[in-house]
Amino acid sequence: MEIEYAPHIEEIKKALDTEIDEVNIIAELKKLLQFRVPLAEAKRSLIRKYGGAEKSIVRKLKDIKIGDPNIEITAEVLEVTRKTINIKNTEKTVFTGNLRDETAVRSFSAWSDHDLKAGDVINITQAYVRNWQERPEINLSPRSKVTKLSTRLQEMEESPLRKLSEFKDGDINVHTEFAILSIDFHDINTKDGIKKIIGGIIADEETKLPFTSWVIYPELAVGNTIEVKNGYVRSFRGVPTLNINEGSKIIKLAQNIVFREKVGSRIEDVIEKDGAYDIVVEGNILSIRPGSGLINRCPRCSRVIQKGMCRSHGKVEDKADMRIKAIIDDGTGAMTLVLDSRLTQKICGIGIEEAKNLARTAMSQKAVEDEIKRKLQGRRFAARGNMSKGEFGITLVANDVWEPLETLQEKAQQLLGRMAD
Amino acid sequence: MEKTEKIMDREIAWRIFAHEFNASNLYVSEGDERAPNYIITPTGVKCNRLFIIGVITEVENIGKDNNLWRARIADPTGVFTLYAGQYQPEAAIFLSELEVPAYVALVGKARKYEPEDGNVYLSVRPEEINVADEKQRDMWVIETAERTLERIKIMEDALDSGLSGNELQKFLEKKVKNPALINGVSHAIRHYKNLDRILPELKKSLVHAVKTVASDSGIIYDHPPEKLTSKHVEPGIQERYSIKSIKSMAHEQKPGDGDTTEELEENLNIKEPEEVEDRIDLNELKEIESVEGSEVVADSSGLQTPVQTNEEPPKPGPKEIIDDIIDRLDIGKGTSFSGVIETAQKAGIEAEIAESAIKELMDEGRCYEPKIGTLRKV
Repeated sequence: MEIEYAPHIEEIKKALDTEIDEVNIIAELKKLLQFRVPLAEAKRSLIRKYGGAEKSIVRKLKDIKIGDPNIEITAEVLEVTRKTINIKNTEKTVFTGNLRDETAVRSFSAWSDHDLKAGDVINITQAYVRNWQERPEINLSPRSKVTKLSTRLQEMEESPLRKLSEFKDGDINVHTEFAILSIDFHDINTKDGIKKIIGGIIADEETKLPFTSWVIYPELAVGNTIEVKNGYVRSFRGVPTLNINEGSKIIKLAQNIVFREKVGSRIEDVIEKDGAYDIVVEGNILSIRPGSGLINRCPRCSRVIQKGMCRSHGKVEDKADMRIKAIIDDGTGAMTLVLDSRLTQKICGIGIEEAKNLARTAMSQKAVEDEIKRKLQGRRFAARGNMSKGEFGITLVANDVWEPLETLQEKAQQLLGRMAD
Repeated sequence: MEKTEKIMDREIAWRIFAHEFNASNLYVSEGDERAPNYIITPTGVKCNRLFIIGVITEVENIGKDNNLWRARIADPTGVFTLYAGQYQPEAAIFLSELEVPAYVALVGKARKYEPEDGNVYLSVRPEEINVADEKQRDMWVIETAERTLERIKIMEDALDSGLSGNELQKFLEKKVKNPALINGVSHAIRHYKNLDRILPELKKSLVHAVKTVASDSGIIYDHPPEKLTSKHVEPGIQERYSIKSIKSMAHEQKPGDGDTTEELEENLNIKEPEEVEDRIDLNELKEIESVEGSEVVADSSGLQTPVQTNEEPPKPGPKEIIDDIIDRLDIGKGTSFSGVIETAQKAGIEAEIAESAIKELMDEGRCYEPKIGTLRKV
């Protein structure tokens, strides 16, 4: 009997740092097995009970998946920021940032700072991967172990030039060229206090994207054309964003890159991408989704609420708002189009007060949705905004919407020409 | 990301002209009974949802208790048939209040009924319907022509390549983004044997459609509904045909699809053929008189256009010849489907063309199948 347990006891002891009385462990293991607990689970629970850890699985950042329970990562810290969040009325400090290895960049979050600084190369065990806006994020729990390494990550070879349209969340060592369309400065909280960073919009010949520079490079000024080596890409609100940090090389180019907005993009081309910034799509409104029209929001968190009850803030004085969630489809692809109250008014001619009147007269908020449906269903619109992919599918949050110019005759002649061949 | 990929897959609403839609006779169903059914059109559209802006020329209440509506929606190339029942209450109400002719924008699902090999009856079940205007319709025609032309090009390239199977798949993957279209094109190339005739015909209908909206003349929407069926039809008889076709529609309803055969049949209170036998006889006597002595002329040029284009002056095409053949063979109790095909072949019409002409006659309410294999003039 004892012999049978021996290898398992060894295994448990190996996973524990502290010396534990072997007799106790054997007794507890026996007890669990008498309860018909599977052996693997019995071992796991004993290791946990005595503060040990199962061996983490070594992963590269490219390969981590949402839900991975216990992984080991070796990576460089790119940045750490500090946020204070409010959970159930208690203030908590959370540290977030990005980690990079030879394969990808991923975000991380931790409840304590683990003394992390940008540039540190660290080994993490007992980390797990959670879902952050439909993307994997490394989470450091109190059980996680962080060891600083004195080695550096392997230097990466210069990668070939890429277009902004090819950027995907997590890309590292990106090499690209662009013009700077606009910049603005932000203050962020780091654990060493407030730090200035640069945000803004860049563009190559056909694609606009946001960027963030964690370092104030003087070359980053509006109008300049820049070549960046060793940047990385993170998604922010579903849109790929170029990140520039200490490790990046910035070169101001003599030539100019001129952005030309692409008109008549097909939706099938747009939805191929991870996300897109400031694009124009055209298509027919094929469906007005439920939840369009007159809605009520919580005045504190802007969540859509029903009967004046907010999920986080309880009973509140709700605030009336309008929005449209519609399906726009051009015969090559479809996506959800979201319009706020300003744009709803622009294309439907119904303001919030009118909507309230409509709902009051009909004694139903659905009357507003029906009216919107009557006015938009089947019609053709162009919309400008950012496209993202997430839990709710492919969405374009519009900042403008309009009826496209009538180009019927032109298109007809063009088509007849093509068909004559 | 795989998980979200599935959620965001919304079926595209394809842009297809009635000509192409009605020329389709291949359908596929994937997976279990709840999986969507697709119609594969000759340009390889794997169609479940489609978007149409056209003219409703006719609305008919064909169910008991006002709960089943049939409508005809015309584009410049042909006519879609639309059914809205109790599970499409908004569309049913919309149709019941509509004054024809009217421009409408319609999002719907393609439905098929296949009573026997070679015959597929296609219709559209509305999801969303709204009023539209001439401009919107014209724009739809242009867009639909554009999309169709793109697909014809893909089909032509695929045919020219001479590839099949995996090689064709790889060839298409380089040209086409939508996996559903790649799949549909492969299906269409395997199934449609006379694409060398179908595609040029379709192109012809595209040119016609674009010209229709590009010029002020040649617009078809001002045709009164009566012109779409060439002969005046007794209301009672028309209704009987409708019920037959609805019964057909009812058979295609799949479990889990929202509505079931039993429910539909119960609601329709479908009449058996015996109940209306004598009324039909009276009417048919008149019909037979009226066509006596008419000559059957096989017009070889007409054979190339089995699908009727409504705006051209009627030529004695295969459909009209078949119409006459059924007339002559049916001496009161209907005639056999195969007999009509045989006679048509003697008159120089290929069996395939004859079948599609019969189908069109049925679509137009000019003949019907009281039981499978038997044809009868209305």
